[in-house]
Amino acid sequence: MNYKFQWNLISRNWDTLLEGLVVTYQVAALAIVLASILGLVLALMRLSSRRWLSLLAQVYIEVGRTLPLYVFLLWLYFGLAVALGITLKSFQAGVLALGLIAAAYMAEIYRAGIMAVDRGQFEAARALGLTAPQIYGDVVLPQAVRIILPAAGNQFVGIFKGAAIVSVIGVADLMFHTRELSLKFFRPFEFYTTSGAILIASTLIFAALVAVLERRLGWGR
Amino acid sequence: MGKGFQWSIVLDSLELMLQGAGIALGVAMAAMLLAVVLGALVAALRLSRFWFLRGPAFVYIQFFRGTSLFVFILWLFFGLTIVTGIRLGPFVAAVIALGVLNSAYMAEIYRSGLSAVRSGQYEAARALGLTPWQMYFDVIFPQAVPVIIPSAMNLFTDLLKDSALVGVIGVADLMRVTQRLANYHFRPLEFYTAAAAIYALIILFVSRVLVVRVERYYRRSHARSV
Amino acid sequence: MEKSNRRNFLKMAGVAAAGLGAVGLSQVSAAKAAPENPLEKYKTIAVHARQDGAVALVDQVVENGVLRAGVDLTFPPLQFRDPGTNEPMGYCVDITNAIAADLGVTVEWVELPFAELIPGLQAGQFDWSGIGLTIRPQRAQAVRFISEPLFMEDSILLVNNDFTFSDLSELNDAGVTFSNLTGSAQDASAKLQFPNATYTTFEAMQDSLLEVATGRAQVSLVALWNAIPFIDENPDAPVYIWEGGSLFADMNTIMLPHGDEKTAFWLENWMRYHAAHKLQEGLWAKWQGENLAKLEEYSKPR
Repeated sequence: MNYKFQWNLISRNWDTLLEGLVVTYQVAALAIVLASILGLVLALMRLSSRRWLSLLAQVYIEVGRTLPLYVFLLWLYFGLAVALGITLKSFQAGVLALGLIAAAYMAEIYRAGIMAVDRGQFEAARALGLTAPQIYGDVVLPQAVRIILPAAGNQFVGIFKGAAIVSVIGVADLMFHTRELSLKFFRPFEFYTTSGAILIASTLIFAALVAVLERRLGWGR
Repeated sequence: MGKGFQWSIVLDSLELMLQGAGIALGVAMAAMLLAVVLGALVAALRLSRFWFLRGPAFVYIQFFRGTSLFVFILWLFFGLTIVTGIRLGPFVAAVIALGVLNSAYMAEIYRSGLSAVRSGQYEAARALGLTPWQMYFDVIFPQAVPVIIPSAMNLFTDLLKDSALVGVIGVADLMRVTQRLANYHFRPLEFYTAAAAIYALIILFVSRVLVVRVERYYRRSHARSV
Repeated sequence: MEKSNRRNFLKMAGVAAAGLGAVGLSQVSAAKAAPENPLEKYKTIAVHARQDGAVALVDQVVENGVLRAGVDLTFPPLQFRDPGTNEPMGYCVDITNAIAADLGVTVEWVELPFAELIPGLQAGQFDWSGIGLTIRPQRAQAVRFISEPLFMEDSILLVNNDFTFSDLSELNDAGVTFSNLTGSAQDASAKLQFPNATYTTFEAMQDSLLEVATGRAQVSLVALWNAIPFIDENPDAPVYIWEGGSLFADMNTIMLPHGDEKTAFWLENWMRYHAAHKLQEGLWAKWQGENLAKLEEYSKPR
């Protein structure tokens, strides 16, 4: 083995790597928000009694769950730009790709949670004269959250892992800087190992936070 | 730009794209095989009586479940190969990366499959005087497998979607071919849409057709044994 | 997650968090403590590829009967794989084959992504490069370039139609976005010449040029022999080559490990000899033909 390790390069470029990490976090966070909100909308559409709304949501969910993230990312960034002149910024395209696909999964998670709430609850609430928003907001959703949260937490971790990909369209995230630095100093191993370790640690910490949140909300009961 | 869509160009290049899809499928299947075998090994360690076998297996599983394929495959191909001097071709590196990563998920699937078997079965088997070998292979596994298979097929679908990435290290898969064609003809929208459609067809085939067939088979054989 | 698992998991995550925090803090203090000598940033250590540095590579190659040539075969027409037969083809491939023929050996094409060629050479994965790389000073600290050129590479500016400028200094502005190939000599040169501009880089040459075509980037500093095929294949792309032509012409040549005088001399000698016998000239005409002359035609906004 003739590779001369140079770990001091890492400390000298630590601030660049951290800058990139912040961008990765930003992309993931925005995508999580987008997926959570859009996913809820889709779930409610899917459960709606209006046929066309439900169908529309179904199609979206099907497509979202079959589409590979990488394909969608390139399609959004390059495809739209060349064919339709829609030039999204790389950051926007990254967040959209992650968020729109994750929304499909979130929709199913919300739906499973809502459907798991006992039918009797719906009827009792309606019998009590609660309006639809009241039924969902005050009765169903709080009980559904117990089921939704672990799956959603998993999904959020998945979004964070997916955020590592966006460097391929030029987002100046952690992996982007890792690549540039490893090329500049001809030291791929040091940089890829460091960034990998940082990302894994972030994922583990995030998953742990979700686990703590689960316990706090009494899921273990 | 804005010169209208030209889907005919895509049709002309369809053969090249399908060749790429073939390679992508090859990577996915080889990786799945690796994941199934390696995952079984890890699961066995995870369920061992000895803490020094259980611990590392636990860490292995948590480690790879928290790792993004993109990061791992780049590290493996650009980082590890340079250091160790082992020259992995892109195809092999992709299979190893995908396989090792998903072996962690398979290990968890095995574990939940086994825990789905009622504990009474273990006691009954032991009471009947069966050896551990007989107990596992004749009683436990046949009951665990119908639980494991659907989850494993789900994992395979996810693996297929993940495998779209492997082009970044140079595997001549569907995405790499598509990128080359999209850039050559300056028609990314048409080509990426076609690639998405091909992936959708493959994934739907696996998740709808194959899964249904496999489940039907297990329901039949399961019914027979009961 | 069951209770015992969750506890173990939280323990792991706690260790990870503590580790991350400790490393982060140490790096911050280390970064602050280290004096900022600008030249320090470029220091890399040259490594001899073979343990037995006493035996020259050129002799080892003859003894082994095979030349391991490091290449990235994705850059037509200088080095690429023929789409039909998948055989390595191109100007640099022909030159490498000629070198091997003179040595009486066969060629083993060690294919690596372009960015990995230098680390690969340092790690001893091949003998010398089968393609030419630009002789950047920073690279020269890590590897040795021979003194005879494989070819000269003109670098030009590919500009989006909507963007015009009268003087190069206008590009040195944060409002101007460059889109370059990751790790290319052009990317490094651009950053030196236009430090204030904004930069985005892509793994694939085509993607970096496509970015200019979409207008998200105004300009790309790119090798002429890459830009011409792009314009050829994308006649509708709203781009043009800056009429100022070539900003500079870099020497591109073979790289090998440091310290091997005999092999370096042998390769230089080979190149000089065959240049006199018009080998490079003939091959260049064969592969590039009249391509590079299209520079003038493509210099008007299209």
